[in-house]
Amino acid sequence: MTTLLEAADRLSAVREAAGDPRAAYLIRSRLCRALLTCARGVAERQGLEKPVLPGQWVLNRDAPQELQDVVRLCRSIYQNAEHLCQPSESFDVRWEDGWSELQRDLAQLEDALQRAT
Amino acid sequence: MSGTEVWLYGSSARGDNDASSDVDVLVAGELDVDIDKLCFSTDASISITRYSWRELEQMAGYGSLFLHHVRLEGRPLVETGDKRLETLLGSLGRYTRAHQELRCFSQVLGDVEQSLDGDHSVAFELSVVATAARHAAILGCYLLSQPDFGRTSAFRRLLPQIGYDSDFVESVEQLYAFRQAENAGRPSNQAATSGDVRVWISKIRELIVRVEQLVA
Repeated sequence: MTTLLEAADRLSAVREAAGDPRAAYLIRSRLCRALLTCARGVAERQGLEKPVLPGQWVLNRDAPQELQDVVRLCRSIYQNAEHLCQPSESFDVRWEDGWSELQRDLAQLEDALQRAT
Repeated sequence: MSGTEVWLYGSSARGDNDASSDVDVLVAGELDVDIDKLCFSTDASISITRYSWRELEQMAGYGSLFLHHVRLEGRPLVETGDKRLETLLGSLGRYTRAHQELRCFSQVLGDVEQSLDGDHSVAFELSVVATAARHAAILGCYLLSQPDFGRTSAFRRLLPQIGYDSDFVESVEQLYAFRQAENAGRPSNQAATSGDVRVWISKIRELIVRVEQLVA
């Protein structure tokens, strides 16, 4: 399995965990792992060194558009998730309010991954 | 902005901060308020946690550990006239999600184990294990009625009381130091391997079992 295909599986694991917002650390760690795997898959495709931690990755402008889309969506989700997933605690209220928006972003990322694989 | 409070907590509030410490700040009330305009200006890196009153009231309802943390060591920088957060903290009940949280940590370790069979970053996976260990230690201290939210002091406080020797305490502290160094962009000189991650998963699983035994 390529790393980008693996990333799609890991995004599914985020959705699975998100059913119970009280499992905050589980959701956070799965989301970070999924985004990191996306970035590692893009790096693999581009022959670049794979990142080791989640973050605000950037990709060369001459990279294929489908990979640019993956990285752009990862950045956006990572940024939004920082607000949604406060580091200290379960996040019932905020999660309930923000999950639908995050779901939409995850669906876009899944589409972008499909185009890239 | 009148309904917003700003509280300091963490190492800066305890007074054991060092050069690598963030200044931990809780903004209670308006989520988008600019704290520079309220009270704060520093060269240190500020880690801001923001909760609305609605969120805080819900968290108080299950005895949020985070709110116990703020109650134990937090101090207000900006308060509302009716000292809203202080009142909320004053009536804070017991934390009611210990079982659930420990189950969550076990699932997290299961995820880490599974990830090792595919593409993975050792630094990330070890960081996840280290964070689960620290959360479990903090929870354990709370369950012993000895709350401790320090960076690694919860390990030192809890582990000897649940049967661990000083070598293990030291090694867990090193694990957490590894996580901190990686997250601060200062990777450790000691290269960790997937085998190290597996060993740590096993050790922290055992730690979680021991903390589970403290839940009444």
